[in-house]
Amino acid sequence: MAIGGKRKKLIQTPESKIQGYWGEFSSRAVNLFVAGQLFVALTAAGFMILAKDAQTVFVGIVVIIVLELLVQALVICLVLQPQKRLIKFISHLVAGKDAMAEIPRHRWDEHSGLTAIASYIQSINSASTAATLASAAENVNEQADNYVVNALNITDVGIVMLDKQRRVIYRNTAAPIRNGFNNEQALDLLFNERDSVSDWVERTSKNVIKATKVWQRIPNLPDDSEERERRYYDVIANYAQGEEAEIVLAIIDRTPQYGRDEDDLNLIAFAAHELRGPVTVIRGYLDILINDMGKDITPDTKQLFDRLSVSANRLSSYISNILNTSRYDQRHLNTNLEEQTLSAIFHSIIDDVTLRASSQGRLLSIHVPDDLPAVAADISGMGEVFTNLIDNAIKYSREGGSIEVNAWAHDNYVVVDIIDHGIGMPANVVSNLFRKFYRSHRSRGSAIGTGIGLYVSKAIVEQHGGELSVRSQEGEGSTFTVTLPTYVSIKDKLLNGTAQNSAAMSENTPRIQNHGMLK
Amino acid sequence: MTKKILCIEDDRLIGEMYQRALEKAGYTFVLKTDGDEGLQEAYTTRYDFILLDLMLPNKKGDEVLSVLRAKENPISAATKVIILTNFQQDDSARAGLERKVDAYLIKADITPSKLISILKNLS
Repeated sequence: MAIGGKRKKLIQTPESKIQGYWGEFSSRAVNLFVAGQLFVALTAAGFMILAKDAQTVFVGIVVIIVLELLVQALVICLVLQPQKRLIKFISHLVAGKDAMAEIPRHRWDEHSGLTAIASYIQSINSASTAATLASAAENVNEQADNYVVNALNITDVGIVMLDKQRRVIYRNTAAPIRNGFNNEQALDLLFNERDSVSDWVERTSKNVIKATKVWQRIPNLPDDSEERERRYYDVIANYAQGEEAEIVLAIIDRTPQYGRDEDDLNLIAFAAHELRGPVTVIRGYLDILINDMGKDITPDTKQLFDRLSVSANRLSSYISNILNTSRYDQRHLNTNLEEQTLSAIFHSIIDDVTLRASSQGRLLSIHVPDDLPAVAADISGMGEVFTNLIDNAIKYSREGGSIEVNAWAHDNYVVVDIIDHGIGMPANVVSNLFRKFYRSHRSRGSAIGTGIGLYVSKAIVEQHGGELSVRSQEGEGSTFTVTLPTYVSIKDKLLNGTAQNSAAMSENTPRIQNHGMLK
Repeated sequence: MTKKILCIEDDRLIGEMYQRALEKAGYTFVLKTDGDEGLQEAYTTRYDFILLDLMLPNKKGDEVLSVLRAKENPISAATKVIILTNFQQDDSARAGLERKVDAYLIKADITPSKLISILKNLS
C-alpha cells in the first residue's frame, strides 16, 4: 500500500496538483481551524468544571487565551504564510527576477502542494519565455530571408524559378529575363532547337522526379530592333517534381570567356573568308581554262593544269580544316546529319581525289558498293574526312604506289578502309597521330601538311557517332578505318531531335556535341 | 527556253567567272554587285535561279533573302535561291538560312563546272 501510495504521488503532475490544490488546502485549513477551536473550547470547559476559586478561573482564562493565540499562530503559519510566499514568488516572476530562488521550500509547503504550484507557474513562465525567444528567432529568420534576397540581387549568377506551368515565379536582378507575349516573363536565352529548358523538363518529367542538366554557351536572344551585345551563359537547371518552384535555374554569364573565343573565331572566320576569295578565283578560272581548251590541250599542259588544280583544291581543303579545327575547339562544330549513302559522299569528292592521286602518280581505286546501308552523315563533313585520309595516303606513299578504298557493312555499321602501301609508321607515332599539330617523323622531310587534318577528321567522325582508327606497319603502309553507324540504327535518336546541335553537350561528352547522343 | 540566272556577287572576278562559265553552258546571266540593286533586279524579271552572296554592300545577303521570301510580296516560289558564299557563319545562323534556300554552297569548295551540275540537279 505504501509503495502504491508513493507511486501515486510520483505520477502526480503539476496540473493535477494545482487542480486538487484548493480542495486539499481548504479542507486542511478548516480541519486545522475546527480542531484548534475544539481544543481551546474543551480546555475552557475543563477549567470551568474543575475551577473552585477565582484564582483557578483566572489561570484558566490566561491558559485559554494563550492556547487561542497559539491556534491563531498555527493558522497563520499554515494558511496565510504559504499565500505570502506564493505571492512573493509570483511577484519575483513578474518582476523578471530569479524566481527559482523564491520557490517556497518550507517542508509544510511541500506538504501542502505549494511547491508544486510554484513549479507549475514557473514552467508556464518558461514556456512563455521560450515562445518569446522563438518569435525572436523568427525575426532573425526573416532577417536572414532579407539577406538572401539581397544577396541574390547582388550576385552575378542569375536565379530563375519556374512553377509547374513554367511561369517565372522568381527572378533575381542578374537573371536574363525579357517580357514575352502578353507581357509574360520569359527567359532571354536562345536555346538550340528542341533543347530548351521546357523541352528538357517535358522529357525528364516523364521518367524521373528530380534531375539536373547543364547547358553551355547559350547566347541571349538576338534583337532586331537594336544592336545589343551578344552574351553567353552557362545554364544549370534543377528539376524537382511537386515543388512550388519546380524548376530552379542558375544562369552564369560567361561572356568574358566565350566572347573572347567568339572574337578568335570571328578572326579566323574573316581570315578564311579573305583566303577563300582568291582560292575561288584560281580554282574557278582553272576549271574554265581547262574546259575552254578542251581537246586542244597537250598532255604536258594538262599535267601543269592538273597540278595547279590540285594545289588550289588542297588550299581550299586546308582552309576548311583550319576553320573546322577552330570551330571544334570552341564547340562550334555542329554536323547536319542526314540519310546519305557512302557512294553519294564519294561521288562528291571523287573528281578531286582522283585528280590529286593521278597528278602525283598514285593509283587510287575506290570500291564503295552502291547497295551499302545508308549512314547518317553530313555530306560535306564526311567528304572532308575522306579527302583528308586519301590526301594523307598520297603524302605517305611512294610515287607509283597504290591506294585502295574499300567499304563494307558490318552489323549496324558501315566500315571504310583507306589503305596505302607506303612508308608506314612505328607504334609511338601511331599513338600520337590524332593530336593537333602532330606531324610525324616522316612528314618533316618531304610531305607538306598542317598537322590538323587527322585531328579534325577524327573529330568529325566522332561527331557522327563513329570511329577513326589506324593500323600501321613501318615500311609496309597504313590502313585508316572509318566506322559509321547505319542510318537505321540511329534514326530514332536523330528524329527525337536529341542528336541535333548541342543537346548532348552536358549529358555526355562535353567536347563533342553530337557524338554523345549517338553512342 | 534558256534558264535565267541572277547573280548577286560583289567580287567582279568571281561574278564574271561564273558569268563566263554559265553563259557558255547556255544560261542567261545577269550580274549585280550590290545587295539593293540585286534585290530590285529580282523583282523586275522572273529568274530561274538567284545566286546570292552574303557579304554584300548596301544590303547583306540574308536581308535580301528575307525580302525575297517575305510573306508580303515574295518572288515566285519557282525561283530557286542558292547562297554562294565564302563566309563561314556560326551554325545556328547557317541552319536558319539553309531552311530558306535551295542550296548553301561555299564558293571556294566548288568550281564553275560543279555549280553547273548542281543547277542541273536542282531544275
